[in-house]
Amino acid sequence: MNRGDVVRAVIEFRNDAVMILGPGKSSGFLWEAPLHPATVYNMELTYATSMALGVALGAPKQRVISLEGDGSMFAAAPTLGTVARSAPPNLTVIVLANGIWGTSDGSVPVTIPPAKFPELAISCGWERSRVTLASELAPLREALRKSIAEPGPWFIAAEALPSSEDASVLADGTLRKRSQAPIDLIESIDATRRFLLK
Amino acid sequence: MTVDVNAVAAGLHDGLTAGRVEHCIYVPDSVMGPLTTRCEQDPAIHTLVAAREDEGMAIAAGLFLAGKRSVVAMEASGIGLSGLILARCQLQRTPVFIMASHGGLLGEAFDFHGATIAAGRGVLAGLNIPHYVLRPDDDCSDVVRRALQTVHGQRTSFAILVPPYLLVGEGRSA
Repeated sequence: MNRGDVVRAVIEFRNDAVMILGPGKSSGFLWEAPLHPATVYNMELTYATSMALGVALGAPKQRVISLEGDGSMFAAAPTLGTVARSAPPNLTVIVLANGIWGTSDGSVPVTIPPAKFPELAISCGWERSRVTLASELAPLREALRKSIAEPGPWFIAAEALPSSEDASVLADGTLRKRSQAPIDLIESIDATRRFLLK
Repeated sequence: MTVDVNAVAAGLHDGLTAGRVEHCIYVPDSVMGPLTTRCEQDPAIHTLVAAREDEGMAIAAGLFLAGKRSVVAMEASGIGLSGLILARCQLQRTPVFIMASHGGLLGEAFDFHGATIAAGRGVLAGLNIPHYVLRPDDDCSDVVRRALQTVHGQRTSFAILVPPYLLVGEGRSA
C-alpha cells in the first residue's frame, strides 16, 4: 500500500465529509480527483487536525476528516490529547505514515516509526477500540467503513510504503514538478464554508 | 485610580455574550483566569483547554468555517507562538478573536514578561493584525462587542490585550 492507495481509499469512503489535509503530496492526490466542495488543501504543517477539530465541534452533524502526513502529525502530537478530551464523534483523524519526510529527497526519516502512532494516540487518551493501524488496503477500508458507520472519534494510522514518488527532490537533485490545485486556497476555504453553512 | 478587577472580568464576559460567542478555547493563564473561569461557569459557552495556543487558533478557525463564534484566550506569549497559523488565517480570511494578557504598554511591572510582550506584539505587528490594549476606564463589554463586530464584519483576526493589573490587580503576576 502506498500513498496513492491510501488517498484513493479515503476518497472512496469520504461521501460528504469535510476534509482538511496537511501540506504536501496527499493534497496533490486529492485535487487530482474529482473536486469536492468541502476540501481544505495544504493546511500549514501541524494544523490540519486542530482545524478539523474546530469544524467537528462547530458542525456536530457533519462528518469531518483530517489527513496528515506522519511528520506533520507527530509535530502536532499535543493535538491528539486535545481531540481525545473533547472526543467529537464526527471526527476521523487519518495519519498517512510512510516514515519519511516528503519535503526532501525521501531519505529523511520521520522521528517516530509508523507503527508507533496508535500507541501515541492511546497515550494521549484515545479509546483503544477506535484506534487502528492499517498496513494493507483491506484493514484500511474496514477502518474507514467503521468510521462512517459508528461514532468516533476515529484514529487511523495508514502505514504506507515510501516510494520514489513521495520525494520532492529527484535523484538528479532537481525539484519535482508539482501540479496546481484547480481552485486556490481562498476559494477552497470559501467553498468549504458555504458547504458547511448551507 | 483603583481598578475593580471583578468588574473588568464581568465586563469582558458580558461582551462575549453580547457578541454571541459560543466557544472559548484557552491555554491557562493567571491573568486571564478570572475571565476563563467565568466562561467555564457559563452554560452558553463551550470551553476547551488547548495544549498549545497555536492549536487553539486553528480550532477557532475551524469553528469559524462551521459558522461559530469563538474567543481564544491566553498569555500574549501564545500569540508569539502562533505566527504561522495566524498568517494562514489572515490569508484565507478565517478570523480568530484573541484575548491575551500583557499589552506591553502600561503597567508591565515584571521583566520576565519581556519576551512574552515582544513575541506577542511582534506577531500582531508583523501580520498587521489589529489589536487594542485595554484601559482602566474602558467599557469592557463594549470593547469586546465592538471587537467582535470588526472580526466578523472585516473577516480579520483581532486581539484585545489585557494588562495584568486590570484583571488580577496591582503588583500581581504569574
